[in-house]
Amino acid sequence: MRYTIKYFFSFIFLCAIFSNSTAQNGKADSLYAVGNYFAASIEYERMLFHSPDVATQHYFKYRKAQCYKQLKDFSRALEELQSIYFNNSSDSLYMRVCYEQSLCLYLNGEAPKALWKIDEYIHRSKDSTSFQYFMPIKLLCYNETQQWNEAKGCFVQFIKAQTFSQEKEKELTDSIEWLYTRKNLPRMKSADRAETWSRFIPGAGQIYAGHTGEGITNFLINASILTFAGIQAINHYYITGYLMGLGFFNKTYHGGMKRAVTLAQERNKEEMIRFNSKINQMIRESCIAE
Amino acid sequence: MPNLLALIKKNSLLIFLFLLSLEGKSQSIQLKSDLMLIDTNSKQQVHHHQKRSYIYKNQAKTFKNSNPASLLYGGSLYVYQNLISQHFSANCLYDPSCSDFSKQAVKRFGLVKGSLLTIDRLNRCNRIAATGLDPQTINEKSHRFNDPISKYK
Repeated sequence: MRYTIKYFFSFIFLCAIFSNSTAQNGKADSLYAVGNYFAASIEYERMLFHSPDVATQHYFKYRKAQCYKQLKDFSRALEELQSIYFNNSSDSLYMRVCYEQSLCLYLNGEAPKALWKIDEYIHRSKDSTSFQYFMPIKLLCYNETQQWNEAKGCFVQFIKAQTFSQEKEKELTDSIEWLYTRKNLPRMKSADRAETWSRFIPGAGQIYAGHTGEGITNFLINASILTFAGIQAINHYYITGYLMGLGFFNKTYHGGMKRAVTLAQERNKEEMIRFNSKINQMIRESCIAE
Repeated sequence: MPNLLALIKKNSLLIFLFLLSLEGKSQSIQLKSDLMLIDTNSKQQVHHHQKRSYIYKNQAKTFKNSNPASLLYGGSLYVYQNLISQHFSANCLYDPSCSDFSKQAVKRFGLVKGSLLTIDRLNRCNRIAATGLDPQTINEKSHRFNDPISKYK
Protein backbone atom coordinates (compact mmCIF):
# COMPACT_ATOMS: atom_id res chain seq x y z
CA MET A 1 0.00 0.00 0.00
CA ARG A 2 2.87 2.27 0.93
CA TYR A 3 4.45 1.72 -2.49
CA THR A 4 1.16 2.23 -4.24
CA ILE A 5 0.71 5.59 -2.59
CA LYS A 6 4.30 6.53 -3.49
CA TYR A 7 3.70 5.60 -7.14
CA PHE A 8 0.42 7.40 -7.14
CA PHE A 9 1.93 10.62 -5.83
CA SER A 10 4.92 10.51 -8.14
CA PHE A 11 2.57 9.98 -11.07
CA ILE A 12 0.36 12.91 -10.08
CA PHE A 13 3.44 15.09 -9.59
CA LEU A 14 5.00 14.28 -12.98
CA CYS A 15 1.69 14.31 -14.79
CA ALA A 16 0.94 17.77 -13.42
CA ILE A 17 4.28 19.10 -14.68
CA PHE A 18 3.83 17.41 -18.01
CA SER A 19 0.25 18.58 -18.55
CA ASN A 20 1.22 22.11 -17.57
CA SER A 21 4.17 22.26 -19.97
CA THR A 22 2.11 20.63 -22.73
CA ALA A 23 -0.60 23.24 -22.33
CA GLN A 24 2.04 25.96 -22.63
CA ASN A 25 3.99 24.46 -25.51
CA GLY A 26 0.97 22.89 -27.17
CA LYS A 27 0.33 25.53 -29.83
CA ALA A 28 3.97 26.09 -30.74
CA ASP A 29 4.74 22.38 -30.78
CA SER A 30 1.73 21.60 -32.95
CA LEU A 31 2.71 24.38 -35.38
CA TYR A 32 6.22 22.91 -35.48
CA ALA A 33 4.82 19.42 -36.00
CA VAL A 34 2.75 20.47 -39.03
CA GLY A 35 5.76 22.20 -40.56
CA ASN A 36 4.67 25.80 -39.97
CA TYR A 37 8.10 26.72 -38.62
CA PHE A 38 7.79 30.48 -39.04
CA ALA A 39 4.60 30.68 -36.97
CA ALA A 40 6.12 28.24 -34.44
CA SER A 41 9.18 30.48 -34.06
CA ILE A 42 6.93 33.46 -33.29
CA GLU A 43 4.98 31.41 -30.75
CA TYR A 44 8.22 30.27 -29.07
CA GLU A 45 9.37 33.89 -28.99
CA ARG A 46 6.14 34.85 -27.21
CA MET A 47 6.63 32.03 -24.71
CA LEU A 48 10.26 33.06 -24.24
CA PHE A 49 9.08 36.57 -23.36
CA HIS A 50 6.67 35.22 -20.73
CA SER A 51 8.95 32.51 -19.34
CA PRO A 52 9.76 33.03 -15.67
CA ASP A 53 13.14 31.30 -15.24
CA VAL A 54 16.40 30.93 -17.12
CA ALA A 55 16.05 27.18 -17.71
CA THR A 56 12.71 27.64 -19.49
CA GLN A 57 14.13 30.54 -21.50
CA HIS A 58 16.98 28.30 -22.64
CA TYR A 59 14.52 25.64 -23.71
CA PHE A 60 12.43 28.08 -25.78
CA LYS A 61 15.53 29.59 -27.36
CA TYR A 62 16.59 26.09 -28.33
CA ARG A 63 13.19 25.38 -29.88
CA LYS A 64 13.26 28.72 -31.71
CA ALA A 65 16.66 27.85 -33.13
CA GLN A 66 15.24 24.54 -34.33
CA CYS A 67 12.52 26.47 -36.19
CA TYR A 68 15.15 28.66 -37.89
CA LYS A 69 17.14 25.56 -38.78
CA GLN A 70 14.11 24.08 -40.51
CA LEU A 71 13.61 27.42 -42.29
CA LYS A 72 17.25 27.08 -43.44
CA ASP A 73 18.21 30.34 -41.75
CA PHE A 74 21.26 28.80 -40.09
CA SER A 75 23.03 32.01 -39.10
CA ARG A 76 19.92 33.15 -37.21
CA ALA A 77 19.65 29.74 -35.54
CA LEU A 78 23.27 30.08 -34.47
CA GLU A 79 22.64 33.55 -33.06
CA GLU A 80 19.83 32.11 -30.97
CA LEU A 81 21.88 29.13 -29.76
CA GLN A 82 24.97 31.17 -28.95
CA SER A 83 23.01 33.23 -26.45
CA ILE A 84 22.44 30.12 -24.31
CA TYR A 85 25.03 29.75 -21.56
CA PHE A 86 25.49 26.70 -19.37
CA ASN A 87 27.34 26.74 -16.08
CA ASN A 88 26.81 23.05 -15.65
CA SER A 89 27.73 20.65 -18.44
CA SER A 90 25.47 17.95 -16.95
CA ASP A 91 22.39 20.02 -17.86
CA SER A 92 20.10 17.82 -19.97
CA LEU A 93 19.75 20.59 -22.58
CA TYR A 94 23.51 21.11 -22.92
CA MET A 95 24.03 18.15 -25.22
CA ARG A 96 21.13 19.10 -27.49
CA VAL A 97 22.22 22.74 -27.74
CA CYS A 98 25.82 21.72 -28.56
CA TYR A 99 24.52 19.27 -31.14
CA GLU A 100 22.34 21.91 -32.81
CA GLN A 101 25.20 24.42 -32.72
CA SER A 102 27.62 22.06 -34.44
CA LEU A 103 24.96 21.05 -36.98
CA CYS A 104 24.06 24.67 -37.80
CA LEU A 105 27.75 25.61 -38.06
CA TYR A 106 28.28 22.79 -40.53
CA LEU A 107 25.18 23.74 -42.51
CA ASN A 108 26.32 27.37 -42.52
CA GLY A 109 29.57 26.31 -44.22
CA GLU A 110 31.74 26.66 -41.11
CA ALA A 111 33.07 23.10 -40.79
CA PRO A 112 36.23 23.99 -38.76
CA LYS A 113 34.11 25.85 -36.19
CA ALA A 114 31.71 22.89 -36.02
CA LEU A 115 34.68 20.59 -35.27
CA TRP A 116 35.82 22.97 -32.56
CA LYS A 117 32.31 22.96 -31.01
CA ILE A 118 32.15 19.14 -31.01
CA ASP A 119 35.60 18.90 -29.41
CA GLU A 120 34.51 21.40 -26.77
CA TYR A 121 31.46 19.26 -25.96
CA ILE A 122 33.53 16.06 -25.79
CA HIS A 123 35.99 17.81 -23.49
CA ARG A 124 33.35 19.25 -21.16
CA SER A 125 30.73 16.52 -21.09
CA LYS A 126 30.90 13.50 -18.83
CA ASP A 127 28.25 11.58 -20.76
CA SER A 128 30.32 9.55 -23.22
CA THR A 129 27.25 7.69 -24.51
CA SER A 130 26.07 10.90 -26.18
CA PHE A 131 29.26 11.30 -28.25
CA GLN A 132 27.92 9.01 -30.96
CA TYR A 133 25.25 11.59 -31.88
CA PHE A 134 28.02 14.00 -32.84
CA MET A 135 30.05 11.55 -34.86
CA PRO A 136 28.21 11.80 -38.21
CA ILE A 137 28.61 15.60 -38.19
CA LYS A 138 32.21 15.32 -37.02
CA LEU A 139 32.90 12.88 -39.82
CA LEU A 140 31.37 15.16 -42.47
CA CYS A 141 33.37 18.09 -41.05
CA TYR A 142 36.60 16.09 -41.26
CA ASN A 143 35.80 15.30 -44.88
CA GLU A 144 35.06 18.94 -45.60
CA THR A 145 38.43 19.95 -44.15
CA GLN A 146 40.13 17.08 -46.03
CA GLN A 147 41.35 15.30 -42.90
CA TRP A 148 40.78 11.88 -44.43
CA ASN A 149 42.50 9.69 -41.79
CA GLU A 150 40.64 11.39 -38.95
CA ALA A 151 37.39 11.02 -40.90
CA LYS A 152 37.98 7.33 -41.44
CA GLY A 153 38.80 6.83 -37.75
CA CYS A 154 35.67 8.71 -36.73
CA PHE A 155 33.50 6.62 -39.06
CA VAL A 156 34.92 3.34 -37.69
CA GLN A 157 34.36 4.62 -34.14
CA PHE A 158 30.74 5.47 -35.01
CA ILE A 159 30.17 1.98 -36.42
CA LYS A 160 31.63 0.40 -33.29
CA ALA A 161 29.37 2.53 -31.09
CA GLN A 162 26.31 0.96 -32.76
CA THR A 163 24.95 -2.44 -31.78
CA PHE A 164 25.71 -4.41 -34.93
CA SER A 165 26.48 -8.08 -35.33
CA GLN A 166 30.15 -8.90 -35.92
CA GLU A 167 29.53 -9.72 -39.61
CA LYS A 168 27.69 -6.47 -40.23
CA GLU A 169 30.38 -4.48 -38.41
CA LYS A 170 33.09 -6.16 -40.50
CA GLU A 171 31.16 -5.49 -43.71
CA LEU A 172 30.72 -1.82 -42.86
CA THR A 173 34.35 -1.39 -41.76
CA ASP A 174 35.51 -2.91 -45.06
CA SER A 175 33.30 -0.57 -47.06
CA ILE A 176 34.72 2.40 -45.10
CA GLU A 177 38.26 1.23 -45.92
CA TRP A 178 37.29 0.98 -49.59
CA LEU A 179 35.58 4.38 -49.53
CA TYR A 180 38.67 6.08 -48.14
CA THR A 181 41.14 4.55 -50.57
CA ARG A 182 43.04 7.10 -52.65
CA LYS A 183 41.16 6.37 -55.87
CA ASN A 184 37.74 6.97 -54.25
CA LEU A 185 38.60 10.21 -52.51
CA PRO A 186 37.44 13.42 -54.21
CA ARG A 187 40.01 14.73 -56.64
CA MET A 188 40.52 18.29 -55.56
CA LYS A 189 41.91 20.96 -57.85
CA SER A 190 44.25 23.55 -56.44
CA ALA A 191 42.86 27.07 -56.90
CA ASP A 192 46.40 28.48 -56.72
CA ARG A 193 47.60 26.15 -59.45
CA ALA A 194 44.62 27.13 -61.65
CA GLU A 195 45.53 30.79 -61.18
CA THR A 196 49.20 30.14 -62.02
CA TRP A 197 48.27 28.22 -65.17
CA SER A 198 46.09 31.12 -66.30
CA ARG A 199 48.83 33.61 -65.49
CA PHE A 200 51.25 32.00 -67.94
CA ILE A 201 48.84 30.63 -70.57
CA PRO A 202 45.47 32.43 -70.62
CA GLY A 203 42.68 29.83 -70.52
CA ALA A 204 44.90 26.99 -69.23
CA GLY A 205 43.58 27.44 -65.67
CA GLN A 206 40.00 26.90 -66.87
CA ILE A 207 41.07 23.76 -68.73
CA TYR A 208 42.83 22.55 -65.56
CA ALA A 209 39.59 23.14 -63.63
CA GLY A 210 37.71 20.97 -66.13
CA HIS A 211 36.10 23.62 -68.38
CA THR A 212 37.86 23.10 -71.69
CA GLY A 213 35.42 25.13 -73.80
CA GLU A 214 35.64 28.12 -71.51
CA GLY A 215 39.44 27.87 -71.48
CA ILE A 216 39.67 27.85 -75.27
CA THR A 217 37.26 30.82 -75.48
CA ASN A 218 39.37 32.75 -72.97
CA PHE A 219 42.54 31.99 -74.91
CA LEU A 220 40.96 33.12 -78.19
CA ILE A 221 39.60 36.35 -76.67
CA ASN A 222 42.99 37.21 -75.17
CA ALA A 223 44.87 36.28 -78.35
CA SER A 224 42.55 38.32 -80.59
CA ILE A 225 42.78 41.39 -78.33
CA LEU A 226 46.60 41.15 -78.27
CA THR A 227 46.64 40.69 -82.07
CA PHE A 228 44.46 43.80 -82.43
CA ALA A 229 46.85 45.77 -80.19
CA GLY A 230 49.84 44.52 -82.22
CA ILE A 231 48.27 45.42 -85.58
CA GLN A 232 47.42 48.91 -84.32
CA ALA A 233 51.00 49.39 -83.10
CA ILE A 234 52.44 48.16 -86.44
CA ASN A 235 50.20 50.66 -88.24
CA HIS A 236 51.47 53.43 -85.92
CA TYR A 237 48.15 53.84 -84.10
CA TYR A 238 49.91 53.63 -80.74
CA ILE A 239 47.23 55.27 -78.62
CA THR A 240 44.41 53.11 -80.04
CA GLY A 241 46.59 50.03 -79.62
CA TYR A 242 47.44 50.90 -76.05
CA LEU A 243 44.00 52.03 -74.87
CA MET A 244 41.75 49.63 -76.78
CA GLY A 245 44.11 46.69 -77.08
CA LEU A 246 46.05 46.61 -73.83
CA GLY A 247 43.16 48.14 -71.86
CA PHE A 248 40.83 45.30 -72.82
CA PHE A 249 43.62 42.72 -72.53
CA ASN A 250 44.17 43.80 -68.92
CA LYS A 251 40.47 43.13 -68.20
CA THR A 252 40.29 39.73 -69.90
CA TYR A 253 43.71 38.52 -68.70
CA HIS A 254 43.01 39.21 -65.02
CA GLY A 255 39.39 38.14 -65.49
CA GLY A 256 40.60 34.80 -66.82
CA MET A 257 42.79 34.23 -63.76
CA LYS A 258 39.93 35.12 -61.43
CA ARG A 259 37.55 32.87 -63.35
CA ALA A 260 39.99 29.93 -63.19
CA VAL A 261 40.11 30.23 -59.38
CA THR A 262 36.29 30.39 -59.18
CA LEU A 263 35.91 27.35 -61.42
CA ALA A 264 38.44 25.32 -59.40
CA GLN A 265 36.68 26.24 -56.14
CA GLU A 266 33.26 25.38 -57.56
CA ARG A 267 34.52 22.05 -58.82
CA ASN A 268 36.05 21.22 -55.42
CA LYS A 269 32.80 22.09 -53.73
CA GLU A 270 30.82 19.84 -56.08
CA GLU A 271 33.25 16.95 -55.58
CA MET A 272 33.06 17.32 -51.82
CA ILE A 273 29.26 17.48 -51.83
CA ARG A 274 29.13 14.31 -53.96
CA PHE A 275 31.51 12.47 -51.60
CA ASN A 276 29.77 13.62 -48.43
CA SER A 277 26.39 12.78 -49.92
CA LYS A 278 27.59 9.20 -50.49
CA ILE A 279 28.73 8.93 -46.86
CA ASN A 280 25.56 10.58 -45.60
CA GLN A 281 23.45 8.06 -47.50
CA MET A 282 25.54 5.17 -46.14
CA ILE A 283 25.03 6.36 -42.56
CA ARG A 284 21.30 6.81 -43.06
CA GLU A 285 20.73 3.49 -44.79
CA SER A 286 22.94 1.14 -42.85
CA CYS A 287 23.87 2.72 -39.56
CA ILE A 288 20.75 4.37 -38.16
CA ALA A 289 17.74 2.25 -37.26
CA GLU A 290 14.29 3.50 -38.17
CA MET B 1 10.61 -10.14 -4.81
CA PRO B 2 7.24 -11.78 -5.59
CA ASN B 3 5.61 -8.94 -3.67
CA LEU B 4 7.35 -6.39 -5.83
CA LEU B 5 6.26 -8.17 -9.01
CA ALA B 6 2.70 -8.30 -7.77
CA LEU B 7 2.89 -4.59 -7.01
CA ILE B 8 4.20 -3.82 -10.49
CA LYS B 9 1.43 -5.93 -12.03
CA LYS B 10 -1.15 -4.18 -9.92
CA ASN B 11 0.08 -0.72 -10.89
CA SER B 12 0.99 -1.47 -14.48
CA LEU B 13 -1.43 1.11 -15.81
CA LEU B 14 0.06 3.81 -13.61
CA ILE B 15 3.59 2.86 -14.65
CA PHE B 16 2.57 2.90 -18.29
CA LEU B 17 1.08 6.39 -17.95
CA PHE B 18 4.15 7.53 -16.05
CA LEU B 19 6.47 6.34 -18.82
CA LEU B 20 4.19 7.90 -21.41
CA SER B 21 4.49 11.26 -19.69
CA LEU B 22 8.28 10.97 -19.71
CA GLU B 23 8.22 10.15 -23.41
CA GLY B 24 6.25 13.30 -24.11
CA LYS B 25 8.70 15.48 -22.23
CA SER B 26 11.88 14.15 -23.77
CA GLN B 27 12.84 15.26 -27.28
CA SER B 28 15.54 13.04 -28.66
CA ILE B 29 17.94 14.05 -31.41
CA GLN B 30 16.52 13.29 -34.85
CA LEU B 31 19.80 12.21 -36.43
CA LYS B 32 18.26 10.74 -39.54
CA SER B 33 16.17 13.79 -40.40
CA ASP B 34 19.16 16.04 -39.68
CA LEU B 35 21.28 14.03 -42.08
CA MET B 36 18.51 14.34 -44.66
CA LEU B 37 18.55 18.11 -44.11
CA ILE B 38 22.33 18.19 -44.63
CA ASP B 39 21.99 16.19 -47.83
CA THR B 40 19.24 18.30 -49.38
CA ASN B 41 20.90 21.54 -48.31
CA SER B 42 24.28 20.63 -49.78
CA LYS B 43 22.72 19.39 -53.03
CA GLN B 44 21.02 22.76 -53.41
CA GLN B 45 24.40 24.45 -53.10
CA VAL B 46 25.78 22.73 -56.18
CA HIS B 47 26.29 25.45 -58.74
CA HIS B 48 24.63 24.39 -61.95
CA HIS B 49 26.04 26.18 -64.97
CA GLN B 50 22.71 27.24 -66.34
CA LYS B 51 22.71 29.43 -69.38
CA ARG B 52 21.05 32.81 -69.05
CA SER B 53 18.00 32.88 -71.24
CA TYR B 54 17.37 34.74 -74.49
CA ILE B 55 15.37 37.93 -73.90
CA TYR B 56 12.43 36.98 -76.12
CA LYS B 57 12.33 33.30 -75.15
CA ASN B 58 8.86 31.69 -75.14
CA GLN B 59 7.23 34.83 -76.53
CA ALA B 60 4.80 34.91 -79.44
CA LYS B 61 6.44 36.28 -82.58
CA THR B 62 5.49 39.93 -83.10
CA PHE B 63 7.10 42.85 -84.94
CA LYS B 64 8.33 44.21 -81.59
CA ASN B 65 10.48 41.15 -80.85
CA SER B 66 11.37 39.92 -84.32
CA ASN B 67 12.54 43.05 -86.15
CA PRO B 68 16.26 43.12 -87.10
CA ALA B 69 17.20 45.62 -84.37
CA SER B 70 15.54 43.50 -81.63
CA LEU B 71 17.12 40.30 -82.99
CA LEU B 72 20.55 41.92 -83.09
CA TYR B 73 20.13 43.32 -79.57
CA GLY B 74 18.78 40.03 -78.15
CA GLY B 75 21.46 37.93 -79.87
CA SER B 76 24.38 40.09 -78.81
CA LEU B 77 23.08 40.28 -75.22
CA TYR B 78 22.77 36.48 -75.14
CA VAL B 79 26.33 36.02 -76.44
CA TYR B 80 27.66 38.63 -74.01
CA GLN B 81 25.93 37.11 -70.97
CA ASN B 82 26.80 33.50 -71.72
CA LEU B 83 30.19 33.70 -73.41
CA ILE B 84 31.96 36.97 -72.75
CA SER B 85 30.99 38.45 -69.36
CA GLN B 86 32.67 35.71 -67.29
CA HIS B 87 36.06 36.58 -68.81
CA PHE B 88 36.10 40.13 -67.48
CA SER B 89 37.82 40.94 -64.21
CA ALA B 90 35.50 43.80 -63.25
CA ASN B 91 32.21 43.16 -61.49
CA CYS B 92 29.12 45.28 -61.86
CA LEU B 93 28.38 47.74 -59.04
CA TYR B 94 24.66 47.19 -59.09
CA ASP B 95 22.04 44.55 -58.47
CA PRO B 96 20.63 43.58 -61.01
CA SER B 97 23.78 43.74 -63.14
CA CYS B 98 23.89 46.12 -66.13
CA SER B 99 23.13 43.39 -68.66
CA ASP B 100 20.21 42.06 -66.63
CA PHE B 101 18.99 45.61 -66.08
CA SER B 102 19.13 46.21 -69.84
CA LYS B 103 17.19 43.02 -70.49
CA GLN B 104 14.50 44.00 -68.00
CA ALA B 105 14.36 47.59 -69.29
CA VAL B 106 13.90 46.51 -72.93
CA LYS B 107 11.27 43.97 -71.90
CA ARG B 108 9.37 46.61 -69.95
CA PHE B 109 9.81 49.83 -71.93
CA GLY B 110 10.71 48.64 -75.41
CA LEU B 111 13.96 48.85 -77.36
CA VAL B 112 14.29 52.66 -77.62
CA LYS B 113 13.60 53.67 -74.02
CA GLY B 114 15.26 50.50 -72.76
CA SER B 115 18.46 51.29 -74.68
CA LEU B 116 18.52 54.84 -73.32
CA LEU B 117 18.12 53.54 -69.77
CA THR B 118 20.92 51.03 -70.45
CA ILE B 119 23.25 53.79 -71.65
CA ASP B 120 22.40 55.79 -68.53
CA ARG B 121 23.13 52.77 -66.30
CA LEU B 122 26.42 51.96 -68.08
CA ASN B 123 27.54 55.54 -67.56
CA ARG B 124 26.86 55.18 -63.84
CA CYS B 125 28.70 51.85 -63.50
CA ASN B 126 32.21 53.08 -62.72
CA ARG B 127 34.47 53.95 -59.79
CA ILE B 128 33.72 57.69 -59.89
CA ALA B 129 29.96 57.11 -59.75
CA ALA B 130 30.45 54.61 -56.89
CA THR B 131 31.65 57.41 -54.59
CA GLY B 132 28.26 59.10 -54.81
CA LEU B 133 26.11 56.04 -54.12
CA ASP B 134 24.09 55.65 -50.95
CA PRO B 135 25.53 52.86 -48.74
CA GLN B 136 22.02 52.30 -47.37
CA THR B 137 21.01 50.74 -50.67
CA ILE B 138 23.58 47.92 -50.51
CA ASN B 139 21.98 44.51 -50.87
CA GLU B 140 23.17 42.29 -47.99
CA LYS B 141 23.18 39.11 -50.04
CA SER B 142 24.78 40.28 -53.27
CA HIS B 143 26.87 43.09 -51.65
CA ARG B 144 25.90 45.39 -54.51
CA PHE B 145 23.88 48.57 -54.75
CA ASN B 146 20.19 48.00 -55.32
CA ASP B 147 19.04 49.61 -58.54
CA PRO B 148 15.97 47.71 -59.72
CA ILE B 149 14.02 48.51 -62.85
CA SER B 150 10.97 49.29 -60.70
CA LYS B 151 12.67 52.59 -59.77
CA TYR B 152 12.22 53.81 -63.36
CA LYS B 153 8.95 54.84 -64.97
